[in-house]
Amino acid sequence: MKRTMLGILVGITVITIIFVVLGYKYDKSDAEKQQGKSGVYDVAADGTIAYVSFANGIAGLFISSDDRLPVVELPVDQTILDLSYSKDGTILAYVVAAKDFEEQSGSTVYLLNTETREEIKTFSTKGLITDLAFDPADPNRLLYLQADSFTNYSPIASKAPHDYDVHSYHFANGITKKHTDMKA
Amino acid sequence: MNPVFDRFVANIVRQTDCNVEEREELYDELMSHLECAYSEERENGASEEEAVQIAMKKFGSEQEVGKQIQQAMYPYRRLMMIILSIASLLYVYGVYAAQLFMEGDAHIPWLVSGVVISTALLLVTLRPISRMNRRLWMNGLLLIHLIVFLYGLLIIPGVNPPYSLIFGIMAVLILLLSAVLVYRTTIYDFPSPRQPNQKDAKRVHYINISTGFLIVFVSLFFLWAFLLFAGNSSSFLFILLIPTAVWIISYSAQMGLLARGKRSAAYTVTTLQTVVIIALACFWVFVVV
Repeated sequence: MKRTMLGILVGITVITIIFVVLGYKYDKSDAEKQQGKSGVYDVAADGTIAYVSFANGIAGLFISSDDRLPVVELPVDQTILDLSYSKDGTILAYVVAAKDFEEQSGSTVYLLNTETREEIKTFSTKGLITDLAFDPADPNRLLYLQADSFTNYSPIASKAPHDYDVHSYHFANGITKKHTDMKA
Repeated sequence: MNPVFDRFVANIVRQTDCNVEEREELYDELMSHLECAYSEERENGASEEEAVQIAMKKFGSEQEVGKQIQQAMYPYRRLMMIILSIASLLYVYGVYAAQLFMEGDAHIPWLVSGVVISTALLLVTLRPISRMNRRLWMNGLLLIHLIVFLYGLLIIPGVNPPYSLIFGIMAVLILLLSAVLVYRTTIYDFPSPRQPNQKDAKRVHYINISTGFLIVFVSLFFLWAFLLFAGNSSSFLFILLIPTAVWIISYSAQMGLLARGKRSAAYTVTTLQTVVIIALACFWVFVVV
């Protein structure tokens, strides 16, 4: 009986040690788990697709006409929340924010010239911009949806963006304007 | 006392889940049977050595007799415990491997906790320790087992289907078996000798164990939701411990009152506790939700 017990104990210990060692070897960080295309994309008038894809947690902005290398690559702690082509497809606007978004950590909008691949930091805001679109009536105006709060409703709810409003940014004069006030 | 008989009977008694007093009683009874058989053989003309061998042969093998006595005193208890510990080990290894190779998550602390508690249950079953307070230790192990495996139930959704379904069914069966063993251990197998009226004690145990399961499950659910969604510690976590603490105090009070023969007072506390829980459940369902 003693021998059987010892055998069982040794067997269980060996199996557990093997699993622990495998655990250390194959455990992946959150960044390593973030691989492949995300759901963020837009299609230009000529059919070119701009999309965001991750490699080991690093977000890259790709354009389908030449998608061997990313046009833009972000630090591992940042991501692209949305992107939008201008009507003629020459400008691609995209918004960058921290992956682990916190209240007041902000988001930044960039413009990418799809022909020269030159990018310009356009403006930053303290809120979370989740959607972008060029104004169909005015190509110099970018409309965007911004959440001013990023908190949890209750102690057992996750943090989520709320207090959304539509804003716009005018490239010519750099003026931002709030068009709605949903909280009022 | 014949040392051969002593070893023989000690090996039989060791296979049961009896406590020290019960083992002593069982030992004396078996020894007297053996000595009677021995005397009979001696009277029939057998030598000392022959009489010892024949008496033991008539008795049966130590393993078989020990098993039969255990089965008669605690029907299927050992089988249930062995099934629980082996199923728990397989479940822990399975869920851990699935999480690791499918999701890239190594739940090492959970693996080690699950293996340690399942192995402890297996070892205590295969080699019962008569000197320990069986009810306290066994229920302690079973409650830790329940908590570890409830956590296991919560990490299953991370595994891809159909494995999540298989593991989910396994987890529910393991938790049910563990819960049944808590009821068995407390109410039937090892009832407290302090209680003058076992019928009342059984009734109060039934109500309190069921209430305890409900309270611990609800508290753990909120704790899980809080940690998953809110992700930071706050005083809210301590609020979750209050219902369990109140339940422990109320349960102890009821059993203490019963042990002192204050039956009506014990039942009053039981009723009050049940009414408060039903009122809180109604408030939650009809007002909050």
